[in-house]
Parts: sequence; structure tokens; C-alpha cells
Amino acid sequence: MDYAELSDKELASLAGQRRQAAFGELLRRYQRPIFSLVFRMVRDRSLAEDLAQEAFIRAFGAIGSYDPRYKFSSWIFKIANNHTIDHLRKRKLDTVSIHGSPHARTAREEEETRIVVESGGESPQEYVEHKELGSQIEHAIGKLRPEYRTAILLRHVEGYPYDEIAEIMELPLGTVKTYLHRARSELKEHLAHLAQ
Amino acid sequence: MLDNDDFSTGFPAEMNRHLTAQQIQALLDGQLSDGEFADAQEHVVFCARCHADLEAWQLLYAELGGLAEIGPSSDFAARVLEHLPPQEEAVSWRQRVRSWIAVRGRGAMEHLSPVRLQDYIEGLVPARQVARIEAHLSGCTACRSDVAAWQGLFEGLGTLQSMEPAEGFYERVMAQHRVLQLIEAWEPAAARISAFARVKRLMPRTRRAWAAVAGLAMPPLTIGSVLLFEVFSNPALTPAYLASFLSWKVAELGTALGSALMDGVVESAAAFQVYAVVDFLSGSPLIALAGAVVFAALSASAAWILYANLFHSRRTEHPYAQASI
Ligand SMILES: [Zn+2]
Ligand SMILES: [Zn+2]
Repeated sequence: MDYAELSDKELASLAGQRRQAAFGELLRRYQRPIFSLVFRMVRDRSLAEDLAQEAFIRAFGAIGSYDPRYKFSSWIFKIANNHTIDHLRKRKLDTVSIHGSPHARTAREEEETRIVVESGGESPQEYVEHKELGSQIEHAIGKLRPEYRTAILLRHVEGYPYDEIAEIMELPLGTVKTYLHRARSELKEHLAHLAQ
Repeated sequence: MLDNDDFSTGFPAEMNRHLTAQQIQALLDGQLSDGEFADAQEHVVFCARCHADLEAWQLLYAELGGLAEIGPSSDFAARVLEHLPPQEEAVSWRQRVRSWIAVRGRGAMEHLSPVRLQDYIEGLVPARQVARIEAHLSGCTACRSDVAAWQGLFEGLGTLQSMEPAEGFYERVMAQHRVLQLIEAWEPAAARISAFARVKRLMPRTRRAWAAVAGLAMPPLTIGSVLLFEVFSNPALTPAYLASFLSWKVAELGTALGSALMDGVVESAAAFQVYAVVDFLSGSPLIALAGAVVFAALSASAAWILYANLFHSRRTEHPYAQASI
């Protein structure tokens, strides 16, 4: 059987029967996009590889729970994105955070008005990463909050339509649109700032 | 409210000619020539009345939108609007629509919002609204330069490439995956069944098995019984004597062990700590006995786990057991 010819869904079903070659083909297809997303989310190559690996292992371990009514790409991106966001949230506890606006009525408002100060300075390793993600646009993307970053990357690197992004991020379509609009506004401002 | 009919002068003469209903429809249907389109666009940008008219037509189009193919021709819409009798109700309906449009129209005339511009560049704006946006852009340098900035951003985002993980990533993931599948397959099936079922599972099931177990158990049981009988048939030996004898023996063992350790590795701090524990235990035989019991229990359970893993899970209903080994 030539696995490269099969669709994602066919491969997922074969993987559900513990066919190693099916897992291999799925990994071959998605390692690059998944790694890219995670890498741009955490901006640290080796951490990104660890997280991407964990995401694949999780997905493969739970292949039986994949529902073929949905796209396989959405499913695997959802797992990788959730795993990465979880990691970023945990790490956020380690960074100094200035609390959100005292006028915030909901947790969400507080979240939106909060400023996170990451520890400054750049290690040699970070310097290498910045060479890789060093363009102004990459830098600006790095400044976005994680949810905006995911939306932007899925839209503009992977080229997913809005509805699939909504599926991956488990958000209503309208929220995804808002995220993208706000994210791009922030990017534009940031780039204008850099250009000055 | 805009005073539509009081159209001020100060425009080139040809620009004073308002757009007819036919022209507006042709514009919306995309049937104007480029030159006509440019003229109409230029007029609409400066003429609040025609702008409002255009908005009203767009609204009508939008409402008829879903029915476009099978619905009334745009001619029908024209007749509806042209021949509206000047009744109170009809006029107020028209005015309501117009005032609504005027408010929104003024908003649109102000400047294009970032959301609108982004949707426009991404091609998410319906074709009918594109004309309106382009009409605004043709007359507004601020929005035009804003569009250029947005386009720059979209181009920048378009240059982003996906990146390759380091060499060996594929192999690492597959290796970990295989190991995990193996572990999953070997994971004791017993973990999923109740303790009672586990005990039941360990019980011999056939008469032959019972016979084998009985046969195996017979020698130690017999020897044990004989020894017990011998010990307790001796009138000098009461259970209390036996207990004190045993505790004395354990204590002696502890002391012997302790001194052996002392002789051997007394210099090391860890050895000294071990010695301290043993010393303490030899001083309290009951604790030593309890320790021995715990140790025996642990050994027994370890042996059982080994047994369950090595011999039991192979032929269970565990779904992965057959598949991957
Ligand atoms: Zn006019
Ligand atoms: Zn404008």
C-alpha cells in the first residue's frame, strides 16, 4: 500500500488500527506546519521541538478519539495549539505580571488590560533564535498575545480559512475575525513604530 | 439630516448632473464603461444626494440579493421606487430608510475603518460594497495611504514561511511513539479490573490446577506442621518462650549485621546512617518484625506484578495486545 497516496482521514483510520506506516505518513505531512506554529508561538527552537513532539505523541495516543467528520488538520492543530498555550500559560506564572485594569469586570477584560513584562536580556541561544525569527514582522508577531498569534499564523502562514481557524481554536467565527482584525492592527502599529 | 435637493454649486458643470436610477443600477450591476464608472464614482464621492440614493439602491439590492436570479428584475425595483405614491406611510418609510442610510453613509464617508480595510484587502467584502469602498478611496488620500500600509502588512505576512524541525525530529517522534505503544500493550490489563476479579483471576480454574497447587503446597505444609508439633510437644517450650527466643534471635541478627557494617564501611556517612537504623531496629524487635512483614508483602506484590505482566496480559481482551507485539 502506498501511504503517500492516501488521504489524511484514511491514514488516521489506519493509524487507529495501529499501523505504524500510517502514523509515519501523518507525521511526515504535519511535522513541518505543526513545528512552525509551535516555534513561532514559543520562539525557542528546542522547546518548540519538545512541545511539537509531545503534541504528536498525544495525538497519536488519542487517535481513536479523532472524529473523521472533522478535518484531520484541524484536529492535530487543535492538539498542538492547546498544548502550546498551556505551556505558555504555565510559563506566564514565572514572568512578572502587572495586574489588569482595576475597572475590569470580567476575567477576560482583566486579561486584555494586563501587561506582561518578560524578563529582559537575551541569552546566546535567544540570539540565534532571533536570527531565525529576526525579521521585523516575526518580531512583531512575537509581541502579540498567544491567541492572536495563533490566529495570525494559521491564517497567514498556513492559509486556513476563517471557519477552520475557528474550529482549531474552538472559538466562534466572530471571535476569530475580531482576533485577526485586532492582531493585524497591533502588527501594523508595531511595524509603523519600528519603521520610524 | 442631509438636505439632498439643495445641491450646492461650486462643482464642475457636468458634476451637477445627478445620477439617474438607470445609471445607479448599471453601476451596481457593473455595466458601466470604465469612463462612465469613473465619472459616476467621482460624482458620488462629492454628492450627498446621489450617495444616499446609491445607498438606498444597495440596500434594495442587498435585500433582493438572495433572490437575484429568480426574483424581480432590477427594473422592477426601479418602478417600485419611482412610482411610490406620495402617501404618508410610503414617504415616511422612504425617509426612514434614507435617514438611516444618511447616518451610516456619513460614517462611511468619514473614513474606512481598519476592519473594513482589512476585509477589503483580504477580498472578504461583497462585490457591491467594494464599489463603495473604492469610491471612498478614490477621493480620500488618508485612506489610500492607509490601504497601502495595510497592503504592506499583508505582503509581509505573506512572506512568512513554515520552518523545518531539526534533523532527526521524525525519528525521535516515531521512536517515542513505538515505545509508548509497546508499554501500552504491556500495561497490566489487571489495572482495569476490580480487586475481586483480580483475586479470582489468580485462583486455579481447573481441577488439575487445584491438584498442582495442592501438590506444590504439600511439602512445606507437612514440614511446617511436623516442626510445630515437635516444638510444642516439648513441655518446656511455651509460646511465650518461643516468642522471646525469636525476638532475641532477631536482635542478635541485627547486632551482627550492625557490627559487620561498622567493620566494613563505617567511614561513609550513608553507611553510618544505615547502621543507626539497624542499631535502632535491633533494639526494638517488634519494629524489625513489622519491617520484615512489609518487606515480604512488597516482595510478594512485586512477584505478582511480574507474574501478571509476563503471563497474564498476553491472552487478555486488551485490544493492543495482539496488534503490536
Ligand atoms: Zn448627484
Ligand atoms: Zn477616508
